[in-house]
Amino acid sequence: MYKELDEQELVRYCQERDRSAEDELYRRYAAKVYTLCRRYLGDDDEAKDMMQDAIIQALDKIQTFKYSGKGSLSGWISRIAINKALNQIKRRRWRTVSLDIAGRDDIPEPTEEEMEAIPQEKLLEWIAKLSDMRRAVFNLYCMDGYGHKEIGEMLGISEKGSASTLAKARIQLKEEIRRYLKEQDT
Amino acid sequence: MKQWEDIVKDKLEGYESPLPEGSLAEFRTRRDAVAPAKKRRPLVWSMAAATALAAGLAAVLFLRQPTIPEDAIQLVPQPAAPVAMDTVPADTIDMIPAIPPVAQTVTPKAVRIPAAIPQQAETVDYTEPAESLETTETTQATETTPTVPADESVAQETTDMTTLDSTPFIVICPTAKPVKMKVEPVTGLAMGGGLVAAVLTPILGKSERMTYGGPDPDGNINDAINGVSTTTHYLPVKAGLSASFALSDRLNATTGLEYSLFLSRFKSLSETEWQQAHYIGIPVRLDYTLLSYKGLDLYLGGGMEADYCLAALRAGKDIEKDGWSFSLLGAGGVQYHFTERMGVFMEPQITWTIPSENRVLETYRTDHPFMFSVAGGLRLFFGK
Repeated sequence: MYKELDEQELVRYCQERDRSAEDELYRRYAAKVYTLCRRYLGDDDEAKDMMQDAIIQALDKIQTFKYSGKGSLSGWISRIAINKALNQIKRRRWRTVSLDIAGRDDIPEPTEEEMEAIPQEKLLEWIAKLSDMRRAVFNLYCMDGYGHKEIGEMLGISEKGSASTLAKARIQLKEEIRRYLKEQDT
Repeated sequence: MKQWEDIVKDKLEGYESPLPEGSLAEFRTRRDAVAPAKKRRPLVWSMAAATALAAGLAAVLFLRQPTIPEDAIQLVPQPAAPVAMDTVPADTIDMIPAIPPVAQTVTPKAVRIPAAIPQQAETVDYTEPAESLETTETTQATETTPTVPADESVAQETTDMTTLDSTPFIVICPTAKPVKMKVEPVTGLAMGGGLVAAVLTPILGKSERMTYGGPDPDGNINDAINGVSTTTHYLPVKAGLSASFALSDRLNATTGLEYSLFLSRFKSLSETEWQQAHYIGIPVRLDYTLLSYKGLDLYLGGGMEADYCLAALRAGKDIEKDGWSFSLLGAGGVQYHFTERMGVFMEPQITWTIPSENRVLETYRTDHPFMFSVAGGLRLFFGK
C-alpha cells in the first residue's frame, strides 16, 4: 500500500508517525542521501551514519515540512544531509593539516567520450580522495550549484578562498581521471 | 560542448550507491531509540531540574553556616561555683571569691531566656554586683519551683538554658543587641539554580567556627583573651585536566588529575594565620550525558576520588601533611567541545570523604565530610 503513495501522501502519513510510512520514506530516499553523504564525507561508514541521522532528523521535523511539488521532499532531506555533512566537516577541520599546494594546471580537460567511460563508483572514489575542504567546495559548486559567496559563508572561508580551493580540487580530479584513462589504454 | 564537471554532475546526480547490508534494520533500531527518548524528554528535563535544585539546596545547606559577629563576643564574668544556699551560712557569702571574666560567645539560645522564663529575666538586676546573690537565689528558686512545662522537650531545653545562663553576670543589658545570625547571601543562588550556585560557591562558601579559652587547671585565665579564636575554612578551589573515554553514545568513563586548594584562616584576637593545603586528586567516574546540543553537553556522573596532599603550609611554614584520602563523588556539569577532542568543563560536585586517620589537617572537609564544590578545567575526549 505504501509503495503506491505519492510524495505528498507519504509526508502526511509520516506526519502521523506511521512507522510503515517512515520505512517507505527510508526505502525511497536512503540510497540517494547515502550517495550524497559519501560525496561530501568521503568515508562509507561515516556516510552511512550521517545518512541515517539525516533521515531520522527529517522524520523528527516532518511536521514543519511544507510540500511544494514533486521532488520537494527529496530536496528537503538532501539539504538536511548537506547541512549535517558540512557541520561534520567544519568540526573536524582542525584535525586536517593540508599543505594545499596547487599542482600544475596544464592537464588536458577530459573529453565527453572519455568521461562517459568512467564508472560512477570511480568518480566517487576520486572525490573521496580530496581533502575535506576541496571535496566540500567541489560538491557545493559543481554538484549542488552554490556560488562561491554562499560557499564561503557556509564554510567560513573567503570567496577567493573558495575559488582557489575549487581550482585545486579540479586539478587533483583531472590528474586522477588522466591516470585512470592511461591505465585503461594500456 | 559539456565541461567534464557537468558530466560528473550528470553521472552522479541520478546515481544511487547500493546501501550497506542491514541498513534498514539499523535505521529502525536507531529511530526506535530516538522515539522513546522523545517521550522521556520530560524525565530528562526533570532530572536536569532536580540536579539544579539539588545543587542549589546543597549550596544553601553548606553555605548557611551561622557565624558569630564580632560584637557577639563579650567578656563574661564566670559565676561562682554553685553552692546550695541552705548549706552556706549567711556570713560566708561575702567570702565567695570573684572570678575573673572569660571571653565567651553569647549563643542565640541565651536570647530565648526571657521567653522561657519572663519573670526571672525581669527580676535580674545586672548593674549591681552586690545584688548578685539575690539573683542567684532567684535562679535557684526558679530551678526548684515546679514551673516546668508539661512538654518534656521544652522542659529539658528550659532547664538547659537556666543552667547555662543562670549566672547573674551575663551581659544581657537593655542596650545589648540581640545576636544576629549571619547567613551568606544564598537566597539568590537558590533561586538562580544549581549552576549559578555552583559558580559562586567557591567565592562565597566558607565554614566558620569559634573556640574560646577557659581557665587553666589552676584557675588562671590570664591567656583567656588570646585563647579566643575563629577558624574559617573556605571551600576548595578546584581545577583539573580530565580525560573522558566514550563507552557509548551517552556513557563516558572520566578520569584525570584534579588540583584542589583548601584555604583556612585561624584568627585569634592577636594574630591571623593562614593555612594552605594543596591536594592532587584522581577521580574515576562514569558520566551519563543527559543533553547534547551544538557541542554543549549536560551530564551527570558518579564514582570515587583518591586525594593526595602535596603540601601544607601554615603561616608560610611547612606542617604535617595529610596522607591519601578517598571520597565518593557525584557530579553534574556542563562541558563544551571547542574541538572534537578537546573541551572545557564546569561541574558542581558533591563528595563524601571516607573517614580516615590519614588526614591530620583541619580543612573545610574536616567540618564537612559531605562537601559541595565546583571543579573546572580542560577535558580531552577519546573514543567515539
